[in-house]
Amino acid sequence: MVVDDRGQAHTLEAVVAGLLLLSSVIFALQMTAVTPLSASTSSQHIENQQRSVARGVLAAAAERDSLKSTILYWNDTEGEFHGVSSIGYYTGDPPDTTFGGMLERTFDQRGISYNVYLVFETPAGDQKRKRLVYRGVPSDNAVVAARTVTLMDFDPLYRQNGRANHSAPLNDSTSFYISDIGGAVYNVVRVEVVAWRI
Amino acid sequence: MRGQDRRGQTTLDFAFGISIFIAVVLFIFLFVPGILDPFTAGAQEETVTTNRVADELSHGLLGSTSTPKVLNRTCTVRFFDAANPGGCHYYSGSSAVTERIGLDDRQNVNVTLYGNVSAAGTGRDVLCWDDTASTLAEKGGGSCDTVFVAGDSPPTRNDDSVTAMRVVSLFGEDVTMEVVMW
Repeated sequence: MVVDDRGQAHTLEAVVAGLLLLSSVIFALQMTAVTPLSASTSSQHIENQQRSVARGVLAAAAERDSLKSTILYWNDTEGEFHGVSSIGYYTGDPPDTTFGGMLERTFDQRGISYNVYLVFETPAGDQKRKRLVYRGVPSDNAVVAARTVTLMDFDPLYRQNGRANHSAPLNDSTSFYISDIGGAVYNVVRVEVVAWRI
Repeated sequence: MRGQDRRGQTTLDFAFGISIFIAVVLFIFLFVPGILDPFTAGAQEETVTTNRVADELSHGLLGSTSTPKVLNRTCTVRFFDAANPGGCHYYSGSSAVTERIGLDDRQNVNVTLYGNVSAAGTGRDVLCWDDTASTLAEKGGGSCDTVFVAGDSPPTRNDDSVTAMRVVSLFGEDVTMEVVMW
């Protein structure tokens, strides 16, 4: 027992060191739950794409003048949108207008869910946010795109078949959900599309 | 047992222990990058470039910056024909699509327009322009003069290809533009 009397087994040390490393990895794994919806650079890329796509849909619909006809897709006698359920907004299929068709082609066929809101000013000066299409609460990764539409006093309401009813201008409407707050301009509506992956 | 060497460890013991340790270390080093993989974008350069290309094409090169996302029909057909730009804003009439959109030669890019312009068609067909009828058609469905595909087809077995998607308005139709880089 002069020089070298260590009674230590390297095997045991190696096992302990290995256990330490493994347990720290397991701890790290438990800390981070990686799901398809976790934030990362790739999901940021997808959010960018969805935002651009939503803007593109709004631009394409505005080019066809269909944002306005969707806002005015209103059944004045019933006091609700054409073909809507008793809730007052579309939950399944979007409205049967050109804009609705674009939403369906662009989002529904790609497994993307969306809400469409109409934001406008009330006579009291408040902002009101009305649901046009509502599919539930968006996820954390939702994106939003918006576009503004100006309604004039003599813009017609639209019939169920998508044609303008020129004998029913906004001025004469009794049940339209937006009030006249201006002179020749009836009101200004912001159409918001909120889209998220499902 | 000699008096000078009384350690309770044999050489075999040592070899056994150190190999366990090294095996665990190797395993960790191979495993940890796999955990982080979903958080790191594979093709970082392409991710940015493909977004820029898609934005440029949909905002200015094929249309006008005053009406973003609305493509000019004439310019779009000329672009996919690789014709001289004339009054359009893309960069050149070169047959290489990278030169038309102002990229390096070494980058691979594919630009394709998809859409559904027929009542019977499925949701996603490559579109083309029919000169005689002066209308949009689906490739394979009608007669095509200019097919809206530019660049080579993207490789099917490649992890590092990045796609940017835009919805644009072309000739009154909502059309999906896909820019793929790899």
